[in-house]
Amino acid sequence: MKTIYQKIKFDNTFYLFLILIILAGMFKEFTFIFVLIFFHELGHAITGILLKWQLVSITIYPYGGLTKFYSFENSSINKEILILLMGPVTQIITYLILNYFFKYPYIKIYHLTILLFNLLPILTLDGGRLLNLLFNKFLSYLNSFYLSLEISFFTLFFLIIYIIFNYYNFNLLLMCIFLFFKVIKSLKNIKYSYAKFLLERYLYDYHFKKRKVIKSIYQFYKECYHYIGLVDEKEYLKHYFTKNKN
Amino acid sequence: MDQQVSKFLNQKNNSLTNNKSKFKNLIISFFNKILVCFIIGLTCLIFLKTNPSFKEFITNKVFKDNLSFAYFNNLYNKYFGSIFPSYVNNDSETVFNEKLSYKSSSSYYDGYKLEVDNKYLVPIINSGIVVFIGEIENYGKTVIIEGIDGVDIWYGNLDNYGVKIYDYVKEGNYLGEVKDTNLYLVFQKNREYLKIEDYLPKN
Repeated sequence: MKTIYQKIKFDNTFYLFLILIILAGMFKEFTFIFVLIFFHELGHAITGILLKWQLVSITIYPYGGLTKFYSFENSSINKEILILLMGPVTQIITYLILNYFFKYPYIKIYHLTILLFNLLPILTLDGGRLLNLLFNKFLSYLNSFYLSLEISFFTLFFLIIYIIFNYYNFNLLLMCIFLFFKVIKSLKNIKYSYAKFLLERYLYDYHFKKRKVIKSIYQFYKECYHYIGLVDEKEYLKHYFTKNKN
Repeated sequence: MDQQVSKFLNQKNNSLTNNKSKFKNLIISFFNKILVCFIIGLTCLIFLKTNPSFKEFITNKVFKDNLSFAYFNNLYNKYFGSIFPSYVNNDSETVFNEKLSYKSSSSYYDGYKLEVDNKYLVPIINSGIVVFIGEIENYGKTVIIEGIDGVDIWYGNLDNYGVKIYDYVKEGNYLGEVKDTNLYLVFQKNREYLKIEDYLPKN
């Protein structure tokens, strides 16, 4: 518990948002939304800690949070799905408790808004990452990433168009632009995360039951043991990571 | 290249091992900040002593005027959309939607005394935020609602009320029940009391 407490951070935009809240006098609404977001992130964090993942930080943004772990790219898909799902589940439980004690109609509205927005298929949001993990079950690592990336770009595009023409809201627009840059960042970082994915396989012993024959090194699957042509995966990776030494 | 690297590493080592100098710097910077605060505070005090109009301005702005929450929120909603976006428009229809009707009005302390029916259900005159609920001398149980146009309306001599503090309330909704046949209203904007004719034309 103490370790979690030390790792909670507030983003700078959160403080700007606080000034806005104080000027507009929306203390009650803000308190309920903050509690919902906070318990959502705690749900991710505590599940991760119970599964023996190492927590890096919990960052709170105005309309959501971000929980970071020292995660392995080769960690089990089901465990990751569990960690992702426990956030919304704890949020629902918190909402039910809040709704029992304080009977305000807007708690339900804000709770559903946060939950539904969080489950949109955009990478970096829970929904998009969940979709990515589900794709990983039957597509290769890179293919599932690019597929979920395309879906998240489409969703963001339509969301921004909807906001501009149908439901003008400056704060929501800012958030969508922020998400857009986050998605672009993940696109830029994909080569590094794929290299990490391969390096982990080279450095640690993973035992996977599924076996697959693939043609090139860019077709690796999660939770699968591969044969590249006739060569064993271990041998191939050893050659791959040591060939530039000399 | 190697020299640069070793230089960098040495710098890092120095900063890591020299905790004492770090602590010293921290203390020096802390006292510097306090000194700057003193200078600003004292200049402000000198200014206040020599300039009575400035003093009045400060006391009015800091101690007497309210921060107009509802006015700011309304302005923000108009130009930027609501602060907390939601998937539905928060305009739920309410059953109670009326306008204030009264028989006669006469002045009473800073505001007005309206004669209404016994146990009259008071509707809200102007939408805004509830900033005060409690007893006020001569007015009885009072609710103060800060309107979106920056005007505070006091509703005095109430018995029950259906609002809580810092709730945003809408025009025409149910506010509360009058104790007997008198309802006290005060219209206040920045320490000035407004006339009832400008605000509530008699119907």
